[in-house]
Amino acid sequence: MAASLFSRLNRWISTFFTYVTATLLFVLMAVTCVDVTGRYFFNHPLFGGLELTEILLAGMVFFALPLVCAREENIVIDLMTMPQGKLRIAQNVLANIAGAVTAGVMSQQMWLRALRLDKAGETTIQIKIPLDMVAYTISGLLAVTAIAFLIRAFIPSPVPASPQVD
Amino acid sequence: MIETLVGFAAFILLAFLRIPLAIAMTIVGFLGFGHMVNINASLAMVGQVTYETGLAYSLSVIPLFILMGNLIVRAKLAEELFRAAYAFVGHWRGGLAMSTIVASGGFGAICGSAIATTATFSQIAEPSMRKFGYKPSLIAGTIASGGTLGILIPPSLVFVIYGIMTEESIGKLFIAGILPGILAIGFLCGAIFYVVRRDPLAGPKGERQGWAVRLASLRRVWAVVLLFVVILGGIYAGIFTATEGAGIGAGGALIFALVLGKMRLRDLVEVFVQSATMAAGLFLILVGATIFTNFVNLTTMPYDLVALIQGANMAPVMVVLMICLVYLVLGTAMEELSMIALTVPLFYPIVTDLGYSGIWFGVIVAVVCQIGLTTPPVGINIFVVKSVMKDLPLREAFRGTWPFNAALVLLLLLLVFVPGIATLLVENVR
Repeated sequence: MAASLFSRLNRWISTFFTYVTATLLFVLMAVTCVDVTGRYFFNHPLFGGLELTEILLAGMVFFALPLVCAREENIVIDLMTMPQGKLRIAQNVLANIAGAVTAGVMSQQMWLRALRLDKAGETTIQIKIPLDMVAYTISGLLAVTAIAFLIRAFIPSPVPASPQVD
Repeated sequence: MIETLVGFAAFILLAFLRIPLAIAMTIVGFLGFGHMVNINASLAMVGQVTYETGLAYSLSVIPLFILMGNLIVRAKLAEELFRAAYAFVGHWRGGLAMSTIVASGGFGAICGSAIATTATFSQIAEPSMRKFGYKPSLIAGTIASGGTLGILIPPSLVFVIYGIMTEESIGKLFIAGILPGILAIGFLCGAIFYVVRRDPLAGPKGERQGWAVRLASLRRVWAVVLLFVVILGGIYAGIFTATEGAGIGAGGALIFALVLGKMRLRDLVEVFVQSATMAAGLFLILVGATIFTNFVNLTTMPYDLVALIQGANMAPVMVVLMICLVYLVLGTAMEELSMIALTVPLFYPIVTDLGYSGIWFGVIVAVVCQIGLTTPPVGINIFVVKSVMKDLPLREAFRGTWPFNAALVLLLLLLVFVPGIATLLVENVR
């Protein structure tokens, strides 16, 4: 029961992140296209296009990071991969804990940055997006990434990591 | 100097323990920076790099070019390219293999990913070559090496990452890749010519096609030509930047995938997510490499290297050849984009200090990456081909790439001694 609840939750969360990530990339592409065509054909670039691109990019990257961990797509050197067994398990635990700690430290540092931006009340120049909200979001997503690494440390994915082909 | 060497050793150790490369670079860079300054400064540096990399406008070029490549794979344009190339050279000895190389090069002109190109031609060209009785090692070598052409032929992810690391213009790097890219197609076809001369049974002739068929097949590749001309022409004429070109290219590729490839909406989400996670993985690499470089720049390593080279009184060309050698060795084991992110900050100042053009060095780096993708033990392109040709022993597959890699080494030497091949077209860019 607990296991099925966990896997249902897992599927629900990864579906959510999948759709958000895909949408952000689509909007990023659309914003660039509209910006360029607007500038050259109508002499009117998209208002705040540059800042919008930056925020969308950050959103896409950090929403995608938990998926990178969950799908085990991190780039590794595969020369010394241990065969199945205790050493392989140890290798997996070590790699993912290193990832979890790194993502955790990044998340904490981003939180501190968000607090500073919050205090200074900084926003983007044209469309006035509050930068502290951006930093808080990134911090939260890095925390999710750290958790994703932790889960992978103890529940390795059933399929062995292999280069993405299709 | 000693701190950096310890740092590199620690990185290699962590990498061999199968810790993700980006994480290994971050950990070593963080600890090294902490050792040189203090831990609090190092923590702040990690936060700074993560924030600024995530929000950098110029980096939006990465996911957009990846997306364009992944969409173009679905537009089924590779078949048309292969058919057109086959119509022209298929009846030569080894002609099917040469068609594969030419078509891969054409595909590389709209897709910047070597893995995507290789995977695509494994599906398309392998069955035809097998049908005509081609030697399996020649089939594998042709597809794997042809797949690397996209690295040199613009648009190319390697140039994008190199441009970001060195602040060289990505647009100029793209233009610089055109002539060497065309030469590379010729050199790889030369390798096939050599193989079938020695062993005529390795690559039998295909059917000869009439001119009517040839012209008809050419008309079918309009979409590829259109996309390439719009993107590269736009960049060349200064109408848009590489980032904007990537956005337009991805938009065009999306339309082609939906209309020509009849891609379903359900697959669309998967293509977008796959592109986004690939880009995010590269971002982690860039963050890690920047953190590592921040540490290296605090040490005396960069000056020591320059002093060492000046002290040794070596000819500049010898230095470049040594750097190429280092890359060829590194490339056998390391993933190519991580290799660039890690080493270019160290080598780029040396090479430009010797009076070489940074754009030219980018082209050199692209060629060594091409070779690295098909050399054992970690030639990723070979593994991609092998996922289709399951019965082919790995040794045979790697043996098939040797003639091609020899040809690429010749190309590399040509570029080292005649830098003008890379820089000729760039001089006219606005």
